[in-house]
Amino acid sequence: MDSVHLTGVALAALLSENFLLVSCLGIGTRVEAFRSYTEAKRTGLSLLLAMLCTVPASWAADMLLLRQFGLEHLRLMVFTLIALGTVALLRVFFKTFLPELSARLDASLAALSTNCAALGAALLSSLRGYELSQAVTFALCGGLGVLVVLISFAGLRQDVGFDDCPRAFQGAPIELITAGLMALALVGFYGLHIG
Amino acid sequence: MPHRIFGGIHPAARKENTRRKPLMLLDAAPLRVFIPLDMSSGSVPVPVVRVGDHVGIGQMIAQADDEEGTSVHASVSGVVEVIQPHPFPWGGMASTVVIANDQRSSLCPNPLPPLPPETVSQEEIMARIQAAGITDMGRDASPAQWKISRARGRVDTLIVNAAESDPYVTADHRLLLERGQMILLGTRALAQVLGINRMIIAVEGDKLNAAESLERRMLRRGLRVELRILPSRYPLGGEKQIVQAVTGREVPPGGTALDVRCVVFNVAAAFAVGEAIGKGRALTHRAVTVSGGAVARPRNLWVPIGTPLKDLVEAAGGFREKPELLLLGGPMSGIALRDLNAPVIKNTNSLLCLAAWERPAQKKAATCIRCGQCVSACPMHLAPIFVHRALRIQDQKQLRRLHPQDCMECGCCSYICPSHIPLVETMRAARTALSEEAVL
Amino acid sequence: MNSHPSAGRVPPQLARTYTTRAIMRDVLVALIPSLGMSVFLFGPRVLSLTAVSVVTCLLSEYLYRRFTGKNNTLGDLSACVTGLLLAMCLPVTASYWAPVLGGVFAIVVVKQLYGGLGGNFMNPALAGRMLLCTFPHMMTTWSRALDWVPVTGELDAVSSATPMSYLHNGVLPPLEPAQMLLGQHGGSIGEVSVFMLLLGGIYLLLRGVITLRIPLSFLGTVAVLTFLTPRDGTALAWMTAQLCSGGLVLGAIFMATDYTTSPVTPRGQVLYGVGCGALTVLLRSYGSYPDGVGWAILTMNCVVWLLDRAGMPRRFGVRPLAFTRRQLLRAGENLSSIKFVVPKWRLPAWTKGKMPGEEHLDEIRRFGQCAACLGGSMAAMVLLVSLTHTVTDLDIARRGNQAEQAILAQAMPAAEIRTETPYRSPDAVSISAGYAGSELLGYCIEVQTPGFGGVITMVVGVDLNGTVTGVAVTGHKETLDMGTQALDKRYLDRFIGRSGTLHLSGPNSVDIVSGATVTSKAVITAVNRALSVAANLDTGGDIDYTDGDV
Repeated sequence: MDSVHLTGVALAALLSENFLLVSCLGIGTRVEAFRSYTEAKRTGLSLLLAMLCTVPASWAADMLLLRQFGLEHLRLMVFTLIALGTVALLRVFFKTFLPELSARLDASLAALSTNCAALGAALLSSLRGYELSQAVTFALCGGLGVLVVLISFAGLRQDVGFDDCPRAFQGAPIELITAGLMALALVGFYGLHIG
Repeated sequence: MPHRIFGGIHPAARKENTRRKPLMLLDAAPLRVFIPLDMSSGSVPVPVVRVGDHVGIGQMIAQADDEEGTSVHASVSGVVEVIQPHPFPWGGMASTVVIANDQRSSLCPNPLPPLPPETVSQEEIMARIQAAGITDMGRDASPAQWKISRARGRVDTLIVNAAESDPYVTADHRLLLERGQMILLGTRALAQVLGINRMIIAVEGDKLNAAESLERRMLRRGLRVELRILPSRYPLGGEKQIVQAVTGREVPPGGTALDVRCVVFNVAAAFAVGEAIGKGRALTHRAVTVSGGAVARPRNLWVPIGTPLKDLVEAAGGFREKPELLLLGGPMSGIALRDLNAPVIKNTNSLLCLAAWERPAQKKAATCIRCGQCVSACPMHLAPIFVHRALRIQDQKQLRRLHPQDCMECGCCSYICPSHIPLVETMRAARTALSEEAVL
Repeated sequence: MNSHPSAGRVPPQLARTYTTRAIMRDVLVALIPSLGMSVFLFGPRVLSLTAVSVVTCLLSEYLYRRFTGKNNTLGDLSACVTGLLLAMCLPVTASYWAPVLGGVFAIVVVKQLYGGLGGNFMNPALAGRMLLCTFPHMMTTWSRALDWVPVTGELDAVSSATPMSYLHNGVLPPLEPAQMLLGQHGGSIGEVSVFMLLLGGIYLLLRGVITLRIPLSFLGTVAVLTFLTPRDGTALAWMTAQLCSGGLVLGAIFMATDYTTSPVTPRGQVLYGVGCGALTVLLRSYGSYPDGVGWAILTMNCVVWLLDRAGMPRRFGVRPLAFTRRQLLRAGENLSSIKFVVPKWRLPAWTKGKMPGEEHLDEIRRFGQCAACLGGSMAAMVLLVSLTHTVTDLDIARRGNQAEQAILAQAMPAAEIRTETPYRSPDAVSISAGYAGSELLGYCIEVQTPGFGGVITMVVGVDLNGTVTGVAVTGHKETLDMGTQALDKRYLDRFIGRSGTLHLSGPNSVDIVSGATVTSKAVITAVNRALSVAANLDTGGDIDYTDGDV
C-alpha cells in the first residue's frame, strides 16, 4: 500500500475516527486512567501495546483461517478470544521477563482485558478489508490517538480542575461534558482524507 | 553591548521631583546623631569611646574585632551622651551611640592621610577600607573588606551598580553627577585591590547626563573605566539582574555573583572608597533622597549617618499632608518605617513619604484570568500563576517543582497582575510552605 | 543584623491601573472597525444579530450566576466580548435563534460550568460557533457583499461563493487583493474585512493586551505552509489568498489570543501558534469543512496545559540544556530500572510426604480444571453460533441475494444477474458484468469517493456504449437529511443516460443539491470515475489475472 493511503489511514485513526472521542470505543478502562496523568500515560501505553499485538494476530487469523474455511460467523468470538489471550500473554510475558515494567503496567493491562478498542480495531480492519500494513498502521495510530486523548484529559483534570461547578455536576457529569467538548473539537476532522 | 534581562516592568519613574535637585547639606545640622553599632552584617563592633568623651568627625567610636565586622565612626563632632537602645529604622531597637552635636564640625585628632592613587599598594587599600568602616551601601550591607577578601582570586569583573531603577530614588544619580571624580578613583582602587582590570560602571538609560559627565571626567583625567548604559527597566538594580545585564551570565540558584566570577558594589560604596583613599575620610555621610507626595519640598540631601529621619523630613519642608506610608528604599520592595526617630544608617538611600493618592487603590483580588503577564514579567523566570494555583489546591509536589525559593520579591508580578492578586505574598507563602515541609 | 529586613517589607506600592474590565473594553474597541465595515457591507441586520448575541450572553451569565448563588460578574465585560465574537462568526443570513443557542452554550456550558472567567479550557465563542457549524446549511449561506439583507422577514439571499469555498476547491478566488483586504466578498460578519481586523490587532498590541507571539506564529506557520504547497496560481498569490480568506485573521488575533485558553508561558504560546497554524492548513487542504481555523484552535485548546508544561521558562541560572539533560537522565534512570530478567525455572523438588513433582501436579490439575471450564463454555458457544449460522445461513444468503438484486435493479435495471470479472483497475473497488440472459449488457463498477463525513461507496452501471444506466449507493457516512439529500433516488436518477465527463456547470453538467454540496460533488466524481474506468477497460487482449482471485 502506498504511503499516501497509509497516511490517510493513520490520520483517520488519529483524528477523524479517534477511538476514544469519535468512535467511542475503549472508554471502559479504570477510573484512575482519567483522573491522574501518570495513570493515563500508562493506560494509553498499555492499550497501544495491546492493540499492536491483537490486530496482526486477528488479521492473520481472519485471512488464513476464517476466510479460507468460510467461518466468518465465528469472527467475533475468535477475535474476542484473541484479544483476551493477547493481553493475558502480554501480562505473563512482562511478569516473567520485565518485572519492573510489569509492576507499573500490570494494573492497566488487567483493566484492559476486555477493552473494546483492541477488539474494535481488529473488527474494523477485517470489515474494511485492510491489508497487513494498513491494519498495523491503523492499530498504531489508533493507540496513539487514545494515548494523546487520555493524557490530555487527565492532565486537564489535574491542572485545570473541574470542581467549580454546581454540586450536581461534580464528578462524572462534568467529566463527560469535558469529553463531549473535546469530541466537539474533533468534529472538524470528520471526512479528512488525503489524496 | 548590554545583554537582555528577561521580564521586568516599566513603572512610572516619578523621579522628576528630585532628579534636578543637587545634593545639599541639611539646613540645620542635627542636634543629636544616633549611630547604631550594628549597621552591617557580620559581627557587631565594640564601642571604643565612653560616655562623656569628646569625638571629632571621622573618629572611630566602635571597632570591629575581626574582618567580618565593620567599624563605626562619628559623623559629627561633639560629646558622647549615652550608649543605649534606640529605634532602628527596620523596626525594633538597637544599641546606639548618641552624640550631642557641638556644631563645630571639628575633625578627629588623628585623621587618616590621603594615599596617592598611583603608588598605593593592595594592602594599603585594604587596610584603608577596613579602617574607614565601608560597607556595601546598597540593599545588603556586608562589610566591604569581607566582600573583597572573599572575591579576591575568584572574580574577573567588577561591576559598580549605579542603575537606580527604583522609582522616586535619585540619590545615586546625583552622586554620579556631582562626585564622579571620587567614584572613578574608588572604582580603580577596588579593581586594584581585587587584582583585576575589568571594571564596569553600569548606569541606566535615564541617567544619561551622569554618564556623559563621567565620560568627560574620564577623558580629562585619563582614567579609563568602562561605562555601560543599560536600558532602564525596573528590577535592574538587583545584584543578579545587573550581573546578567552587564555580562550575560546568570547566577545559579542559591548562589551569589561570585559564582559567575563577578563582584558588585554599590556606587555609594565606590564613592566612599574613593574618599577614603583620596581624602582619608571615613564613612560618615551619605546621600539620601526624600521624596513622595506627602512632603512639601522633595529633595536630595547629603546627611551625616545617624541623623534622625524626622530631621530629613523637616529639611524637606515638613509634611504637606498626612503621609499614608513611610518607606525606606523604593516603593516596590521598600521597608515600612514605623518610627521617625530612627536614624539614617549606612544603607539608607531614600525616605519616601507616600500620600494616600499615590498608593494604588486597594482593589479586591479577583480571579486569575490566566493572562500570563506575571510569567512574562518575572526576571527570575518563575511562574507565579502556577504557584498561586498550587498553593490554592495544596499541591506540594508541584510547588517544589516550581522552585519559589528563587523569588527575589521584586514585586513585578504584583504590579502587572490585572486582577490585583497579591502575588508577592503568594510567593512568600509558598516559600514558607516549602520550608516548613522541609523541616518536617 | 538586628532585625531582618523582610519583616518590615510591605507589598509593592505601585500597580498598573489596568484591570480585566479595561482589557475587555479594549478588545471591544478593537472589534468595532470590523463591525462597522460589515454594517457597510451587509446592512443593519449585522447590528441586530450582534445585539441579540450580546444580550443573550449577558443574560445567560447573569441568570446562571444568580441561580447558583455566585457573585455577579457582568462587570468584567467578558460576556460582552464573547457575544460580539460569536456574532462575528455568523453569516449575516443566520436566523436569530442561532446566536441565542450559540450564546447559551458558550456561556453556560463552556464557560460557567468550569467556574467562569479563568476556569474554562475551551474558547467559549469558538465553541459556540462550532456548535452552530453542525448546522452547516445555515452556516454556509453567504450573501453577496454590498447586497444588504433585510433585518427581519424572509431572506432570499443570493448564495455566493466565498473566497474560502474557491480555495477549498483548489482554485484561486477571482478577487483583487484590495477587495480581499477590505472585505468586498461574501463571508461571516466579522471575518471579511482583514484590514479592519488588522487595525484592531495593532490597537491591541499597542495597548499591551496581546503580544505578538501567538498571532505571528499562527499566521507565520500558515503562510509558510501554504507558500510551500500551492494548488493554483503562484505560491505567493496562493499564500496571500489563504491568509486573507476565512476566519484566519479573526481567529489568530482575537480567538487564539484569548487569555484563559491559551498558554501562559512564552514558549508555550509560540508552540500553540505553530500547532494551530499547522492544523489549520491540514484541515483547509484535506478536510471536509472549508475553513478549519475554528476546529484547529479548539483542538489545540485541549492540549494547552501540555504546551505550558513543555514551555516553562528555564530556571534562572541553570544553563539552557541542563534542564533537558536532567529530564532525560531522570527518564533514562526511570526506564533503565526496567531490566530484562531471565526467569528461574523451577524444577520439581523432593518434599517430605509427597512424590517429586506432586505439587506441580496439583497446580496442573487446577489449571486443567480452569481450562476445562473455559474450553467447555467456548465449545458450547461455538456450537451455538455454528448452529445458528447453519440454520440462518440460507436466510442470510437469501437476504444477501435480495440486496444484490436491489443494487442491480438500481444500477442496471435491465440486467438479471451480476458476475465478477477478472478486470482490475486502481480507481475501482470491483468491476462486475451485468447479464440479461446470456447477453452482456454492461459493467457495474464499484467506486469509492470521499464524502463529507467519510467514504461513500456506490455501484455505477455503465452500458457498452459508455452511458450510465443507474447509480446505487451501498455505503456512506453522510449526515442525515443534509448530505443524504444528494444520495436519494431522485437525485441519482439524474445520472441515467449521461456519458462522457460530467461537470458542475456548463455543457454536460449535473446540478448540485444545495445544502449537500460536498456529497453531490462526491457522487459526480464517482460517476466520472466509473465512466472513465469503463472507457479504459481492456476487454480484449491481456486480462489482469491475479492468481486465486477469480
